[in-house]
Amino acid sequence: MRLIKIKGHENWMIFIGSLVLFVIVFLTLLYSIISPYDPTKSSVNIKGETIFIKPLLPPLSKIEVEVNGSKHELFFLFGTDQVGRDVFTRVIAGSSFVLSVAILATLLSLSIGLPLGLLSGYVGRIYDRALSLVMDSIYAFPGLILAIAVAALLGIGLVNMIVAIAVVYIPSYFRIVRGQVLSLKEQPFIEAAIALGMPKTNILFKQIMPNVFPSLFVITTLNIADAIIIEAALSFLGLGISPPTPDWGLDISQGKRYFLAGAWWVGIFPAMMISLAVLGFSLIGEGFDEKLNPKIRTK
Amino acid sequence: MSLKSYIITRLLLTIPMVFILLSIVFVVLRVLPGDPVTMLEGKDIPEEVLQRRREELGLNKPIHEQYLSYLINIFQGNLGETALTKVPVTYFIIQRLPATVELAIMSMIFAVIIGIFLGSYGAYKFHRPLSYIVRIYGMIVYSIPVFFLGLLLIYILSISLGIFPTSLRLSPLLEIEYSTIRVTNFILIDSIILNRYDILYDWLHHLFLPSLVLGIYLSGIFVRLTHAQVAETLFKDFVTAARARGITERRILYKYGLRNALIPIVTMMGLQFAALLSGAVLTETVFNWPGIGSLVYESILARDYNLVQGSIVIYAFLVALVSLIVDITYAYIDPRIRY
Amino acid sequence: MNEELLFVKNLTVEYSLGKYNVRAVDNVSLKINKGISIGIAGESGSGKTTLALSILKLLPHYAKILSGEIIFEGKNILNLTNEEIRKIRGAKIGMIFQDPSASLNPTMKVIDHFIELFNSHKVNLRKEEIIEEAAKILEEMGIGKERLKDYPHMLSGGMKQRIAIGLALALNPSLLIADEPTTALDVLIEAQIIELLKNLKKQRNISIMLITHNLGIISELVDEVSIMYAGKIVEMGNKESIFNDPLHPYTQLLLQAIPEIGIEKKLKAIPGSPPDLSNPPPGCRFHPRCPYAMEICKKVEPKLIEIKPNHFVACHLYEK
Repeated sequence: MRLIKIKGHENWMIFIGSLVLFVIVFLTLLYSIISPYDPTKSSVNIKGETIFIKPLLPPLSKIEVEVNGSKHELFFLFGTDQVGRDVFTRVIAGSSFVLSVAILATLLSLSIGLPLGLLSGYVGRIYDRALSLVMDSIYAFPGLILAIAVAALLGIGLVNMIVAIAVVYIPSYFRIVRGQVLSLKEQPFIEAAIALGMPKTNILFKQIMPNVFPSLFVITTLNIADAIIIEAALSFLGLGISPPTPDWGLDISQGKRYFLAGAWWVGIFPAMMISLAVLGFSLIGEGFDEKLNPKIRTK
Repeated sequence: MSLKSYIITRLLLTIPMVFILLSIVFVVLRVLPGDPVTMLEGKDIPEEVLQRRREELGLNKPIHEQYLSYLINIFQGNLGETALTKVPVTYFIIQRLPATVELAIMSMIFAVIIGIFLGSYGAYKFHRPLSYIVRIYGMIVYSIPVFFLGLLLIYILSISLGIFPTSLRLSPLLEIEYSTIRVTNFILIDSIILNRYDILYDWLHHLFLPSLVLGIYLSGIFVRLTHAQVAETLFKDFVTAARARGITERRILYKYGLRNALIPIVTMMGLQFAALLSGAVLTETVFNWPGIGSLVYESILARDYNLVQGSIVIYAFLVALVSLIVDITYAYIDPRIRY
Repeated sequence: MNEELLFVKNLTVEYSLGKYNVRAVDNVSLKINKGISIGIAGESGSGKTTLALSILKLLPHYAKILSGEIIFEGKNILNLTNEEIRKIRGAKIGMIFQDPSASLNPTMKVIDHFIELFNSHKVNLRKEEIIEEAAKILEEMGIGKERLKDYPHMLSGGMKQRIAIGLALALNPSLLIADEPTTALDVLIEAQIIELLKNLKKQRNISIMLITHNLGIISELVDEVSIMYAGKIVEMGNKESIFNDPLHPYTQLLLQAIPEIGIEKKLKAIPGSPPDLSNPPPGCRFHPRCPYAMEICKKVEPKLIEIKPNHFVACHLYEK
């Protein structure tokens, strides 16, 4: 039964990306219902008794425990990590942290880059040249290094991570917005608005800004994807959040030794989540980008 | 404008760029809220010790004085001294820079080989399955965190199959030997000069895996870009015109498709340099490759302010340098943009 | 002189664009004899460019040749392998295009285009000999040989087109297909290019297939004319016969639309617009715009009939 008709490869991209993200978010919101385990604890509470879980159990392990005479079965879909925490729960719970950091950082970036880009593009002249030169230089600088520098300075913590990552994307927003403003500035409808005596702020916010939104959306999704990677890298290097908060990069870093010793599930699943989240956002972003600027014209 | 005058103009433009980059590093490390000394040294060190550290690092002076001495020091080649051993930071950097250069070049080679050939062949077979696979490859490779890719390949190729060593640049014994006989600290050059092909082989053996990892990571972006650019060029009219003259398909793919696509690809190579440096930090850390990437990480772990600042300053210089090289190469390939 | 050079037989080409299928060329037949040049005229969308591209199999991937044959030198081009066609292109049949900027590779010098051409066709000449040959060709085209070391962006549109012609003729093909070669050039340059083609035709004794929407330039260059409309040939034959006595209403309107200097004439535009080829009108495709349309025109497609010696027309007005 064909419920939805999706034609065109860019629509498929948007669909699959959204689907992936939807599943991730869905699982994240419901993990407390789906899973009986606490992602930060290596024990589980059954009928008042605290049962400790064995570390490094492979995926699909089933353990039988006896509590007050009754038998219970504990199931670990993705196995347990080196401390005894259920990997599945941890990986699912991690998404809330990682995704919030990535999204908040990108939004913070947007809130700084957008107005700067709008103003700079619109005002022009020496201010624009100077600011553009600065932004281009930051843009050329490796994002991760910049984030590392800021994070090293600010220290570990949720807010600090968000700020560190936000700094990286300000130039990209600036450039996109400024570019759009520059090309829109010359358009006849802007001239018409000026001729009609509309105040500059009105033109800037009511005429130009809405036209910038489509590209902004594309860049935002792609930046979020990128931010997830930087977040993972920062926590892998120990500059992110401290344990026991569930975080994919952190889990890979802490499980490194055991992964290499053969406990592949400790590393694969967090890495898989990173990939899926990144792919989700990338597909949506690239899909919309294809829609707006079809790159390969078949005509 | 001829190539020569373009080069000169471009060289002159590098100066403001370097200044801006150095200023950015300064702003991040000193001006932003947050006290670097507290952050790096830790909160439970007594205040007098922290104050003394600040004095040592000159962090108590007014900002413009700090900025001036910062710039002057850098251009004199003085990046301060490490907190622990009082060894000049510059020494550390010079020592470790060659290793990162080796890794960078080898990774780029891998990335280019994989990226450009996969990308252009996929573009050539545009409407066949290969093209779609190639496009997806780019996206997937980008989404896998490079440090995990490193761990994965270490597990498969080093630990399970035992083909490659798991880390470092040379086997320990050879490393000790090498440190006594080194000339330029570039193993490729040194081993040939000294006629020590055992060191050369050992180095290649160690270099392969980390550069493969970093190369794969970078290739994703190259594959996608090459594919898009070559495909777009192959649809252009002058390609039809060339075909109408009976030019062979192979020439069309390489001389027309690829050559005209090289222009944005070269630009991307320059932009990729930033990704290369970022990736190098992670790859060097995972493989214990002794370059400046792992130096950044180690200096943060060691809470050594000058070392952190010094390695980031070096990154700034590298970025400006590569940006210069890319622009000049670009002008060489496409005669149109020499103004 | 009456030897057949190119014979297009019942060619039908279809484009698939999304959910639309467009028959750009519908059952078209056309013959070019040695030494004869032919002009193909029609509005945009009449199918003339598609016809030209089909001959050298240069159609884009979304075009399909549904039926027909293209016989050249005794063989059907449509059945040849890619390599065999490649050898014909440029060497036996040359082609120039509308946009001179799009014919040359922006990152290659003029001389490189020649070197590449000769190498691709395995012409046994050393590099110096190729440069000499290229200089000779450029001279023939009226361009100084110092231009060999220039890049395309340094040349004017007219020069680029001359170089494109030079490249197309470098290996002495017997047929030159010129797809709207002067449309992108201004009138003065256009006259020069047409003059050049006239001379080349005489000197090299080649056949030219000139495709254009401008009937004015056709008269100087060709011996025979084919008028295309909506993917079909509506009138064809000897040039003088057609120009002096246009039979098909479309041809008549086309000729009336040409402004003539010195003659005061009411400029008549042809009413209506070209048909939508994904859904062509039934019967004669021209009937919605034809001033003489009859009932039969709406139902039955007219066939090409020879009304006068070497003057064919597809129109119900002339059927007995």
